[in-house]
Formats: sequence, structure tokens, C-alpha cells
Amino acid sequence: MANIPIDILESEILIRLPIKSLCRFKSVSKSFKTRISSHKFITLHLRHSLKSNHIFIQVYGKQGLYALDLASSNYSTVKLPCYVEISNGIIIGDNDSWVGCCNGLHCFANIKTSVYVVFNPFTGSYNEISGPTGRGRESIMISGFGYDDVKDDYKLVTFKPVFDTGYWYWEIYVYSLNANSWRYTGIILRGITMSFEQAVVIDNHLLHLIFSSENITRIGCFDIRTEQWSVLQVPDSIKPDIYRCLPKVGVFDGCLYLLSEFDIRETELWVMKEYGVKESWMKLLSDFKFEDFTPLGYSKGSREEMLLWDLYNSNLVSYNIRYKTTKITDINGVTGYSDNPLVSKSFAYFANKTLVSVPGGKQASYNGRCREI
Amino acid sequence: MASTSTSTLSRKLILKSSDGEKFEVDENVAMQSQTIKHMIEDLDDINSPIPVSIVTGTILSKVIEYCKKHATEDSDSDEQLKQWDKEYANNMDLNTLYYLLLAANYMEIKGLLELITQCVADMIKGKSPEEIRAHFNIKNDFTPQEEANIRNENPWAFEN
Repeated sequence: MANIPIDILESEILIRLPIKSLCRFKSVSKSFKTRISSHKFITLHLRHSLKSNHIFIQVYGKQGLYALDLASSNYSTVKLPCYVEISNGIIIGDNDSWVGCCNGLHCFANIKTSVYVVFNPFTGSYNEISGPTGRGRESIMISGFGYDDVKDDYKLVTFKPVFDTGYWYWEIYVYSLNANSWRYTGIILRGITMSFEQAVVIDNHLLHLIFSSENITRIGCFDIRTEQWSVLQVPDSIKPDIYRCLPKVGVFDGCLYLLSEFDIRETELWVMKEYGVKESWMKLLSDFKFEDFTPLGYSKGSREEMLLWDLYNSNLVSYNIRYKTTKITDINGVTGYSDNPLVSKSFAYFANKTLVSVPGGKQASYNGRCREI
Repeated sequence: MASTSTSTLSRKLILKSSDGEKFEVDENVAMQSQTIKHMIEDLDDINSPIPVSIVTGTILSKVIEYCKKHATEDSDSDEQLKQWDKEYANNMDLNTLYYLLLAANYMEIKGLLELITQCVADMIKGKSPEEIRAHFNIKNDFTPQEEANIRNENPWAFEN
């Protein structure tokens, strides 16, 4: 029988394996372990893993995360491994605690203690980061998590509210996981009103927040590569609503979206087809009531069907744009439970499964089975 | 446009396998192999057989079957081509698959290499470390303690 040269086996075949197999195959031989743990291999595997997308789901009252494979025919859902220190760092199912996710590293914040946890839910690699010290109120910080590919560094960004001489303003701090420290960027944002939503990330390094200034709605962008703040234009018709609530911003099919509810009857979903170009804003939908839904993206292979996450019932819903019909997709077993009507029961976001380790991180202790549900 | 492409298509090359079998193929079929493409550039006489030294006739005929299909890909949709690839790979036994992998690697045919490596990856992803060692003839060079430590790092990966 032909022998596959160990080189082809390790460089061409292993990078195509799912991470569960790779974590298992580390125990095949020293050569396998060295290869699978190497920075080079993890980067190559990351590039491969970007081709497949998974939806990660957190449900109120249930510990840990679930991952839903969009490529699978029946949307099979897996409960991720439980690691003690990571579970402790997440306030279970609290919508406000999710900060972001990048290259398979997830970031959550404990709002009460202002402690962030960055972790890879598959390998158990994690690090805890205390919020920046100094003046200002930690309890209402707005944050974002991204990756600076130029410096090969993961960064946590915090917008910290400070009250001074009768006015509120925001200071921007950046935590570098390589340097293991916070730094004040010197950027101060004055005279603006922000929503307490976490920053929305495009291209791993562009963090977006919605704000209004003198009753005009804008999207602010903080680039973690250059550490510069800039402003993007929104469609002219977008204004804060009668309750002065700002539209929601998010990512749909790789584009920035705006979800604006002018009043309870009228909802508009806009996407910016070409990043940074005001004229490319396109109204995708204007007749769907999005109140309790988060738009996630298109269904596989179809531009007519959108996937939405139902925050209160923890359902994946497909919405047919042409026929205006909705269909609940059964994702076997993940259902919400909440006795507090003020918090969302669940939330969902896109992420990849990778072997990336948290720079300067520790290994969490394993605490439970990874159940197929 | 039509006349130039016809004249390119009509150019024939002869490939010679390691066991001396000769195959006449269209140039655009053979050019999918980067290795052959480079060989032709250095060749004075295009009519002399091009040796594909480590690939046997049986395997070379399978490689050519793949290259022929992908040389005329505009006639099929992406979906049809994917389906053809799938059936092509599924019809191979493991041994043939490995020889094809070696051939695709040597001849530098990117698409074929990707197809076969993905097929092998799908076949081995569910196996245990013991099965992997037996399958690829790899020696376990860990002490029992070292092996147990690795298992304890990610125990979930060993559960079904």
C-alpha cells in the first residue's frame, strides 16, 4: 500500500480536519502534536475554517454556548465543552455581556465586575482582563473586540463614559493582548449620545457604534489598526425615533446594516453594499417587524430567504423575502427560558471554530461533557 | 476567437507513465499540471513523449480523466462539476486514492490535490488516535503518562 509522505499528511490533510479531530490527534505522536500546536499550522487551519460559518447561541438560564453548523442539512446543534473559569466569567444568557468574537476567540464582559474574559471555547485557552482603571464609570462601558492583522495582535477597545463640568463624554481605551496592558488613546468623543450596544466588527479590525449628535444619526468607526476614529454617513431618511432611540447596527452578509424602527408599525432594514460609500445604502426590507429579531444572514444558497434569530423564543426563523412568509427552523433542543421579561432570553452570533490560543492566556479546567443534542 | 481556440485545442502532447504506457492528450488538458506546464516550456521537441516518472499508467489514466473533465468545465455548471468530482473520488479504493494523491502532488494539479486530500480528511476525521497510527504506520513515541496528559487537556475530543 502507498505510504503518504508525513509532510503531505500533516500540511495538506490535517488542515482540513474539524477541531475535535485535531484535539484528539495531538495524542497520535510527538510529530503530530508539535505540528498541530504550531503557530503556522493554527494560522493555516484558521484560513480554512473561515470558509465555513457557524452560529453560536447563548440561552438565558443555560450554562455555556451552543454551536449550530449552517452547512449541515438539518442545522445540527452541539453544546460546547464546559470549562470552569470561562463559565464563571460569563453572566449566563445576559445579552449585554457579549462583547464580540474574532478568529474563533470569544469575548464576554461581566458588567457588574468590569472583568472581561477572552477564550476559545474549544481548547479552553482563556484570559481574564480587568477594565481600565482611572476616572469614569466602568459599569456602563461600551466595548469591542477585534484583531489587528498588521501587528498580529488581538485588541479589546473600551468607550468609557466620564462626567465632567456638567457634561458627559467618552474616552477610548485599547487593551493589547500581546502587551497585556491598557492604553488611553487620547481620543475623547464629546456631545454625542450612544446606544449601550457593543461595537459591531467588520473585517476583524473596524469597530462600529451608532450615535447621534445634535439629533443627526451617524455610525462611528474606530479602526484598531490605526487607532483612528472616523464617521460614516447613514441614509438621509434615518433619524432617531420619537422616543429618541437610535437604530440598531449590525453585520448582514458581510455588510453593515441599520435596523430602524420609526414607530411600532414601521421598520426598515438597510445595508451598506459598498463599505464607506453613502450612496450604496440599500433598503432591504421595510415591511417586517423586527422588534424581537436579529437579522443573521441569508440561508444557504438563497438570496430570497433570510435567517433571523428570535431573541425571546430562541428560535432560528427563516423569512422568505418574496412571499413574506416565516418558518421556524427546528434546532433540536435549544429553547429559551427566562423569568425576567427585561432581559433577552438568548442571542446568537456568527463565528468560526479555530484552534487559536489567547495570547498570554491560561488553560481552563474542563468541567463537563460536550453533548451532541 | 473561435479559430484560435480550435488551433490551441488541436495541439497534442504525449505523456509517458513510469511503466512505459503512452497517452495522447490535448495540450490544455495536460497544462492543468503545473509540472508538465514547466516541462513543456523547457522542451525543444513537443512531439517527443513527456515522462511522468513516478506515476504508473493505471494512475495516470485516472489523472487524465480528471483533467479532461476540468478542461471543458464551461459545459457543466459548478454544481454538476462538484457532483462529478464527488463520484470520481468515491469510486476509488483507499490504495488508488493514496497513489492519486502522490501523483497530484508530484504533477502539481491543485484542484485534484484538494479533492483527494478533502476525501482522505473526511475518511479519517472520526478515527481514534490508535486507528490513525495503524492507518498511516506511525509509531507512538509518547510515554503513557505524556499521552494521558494530552487526553486530559481536551477530554471532550475523545467523547462520542
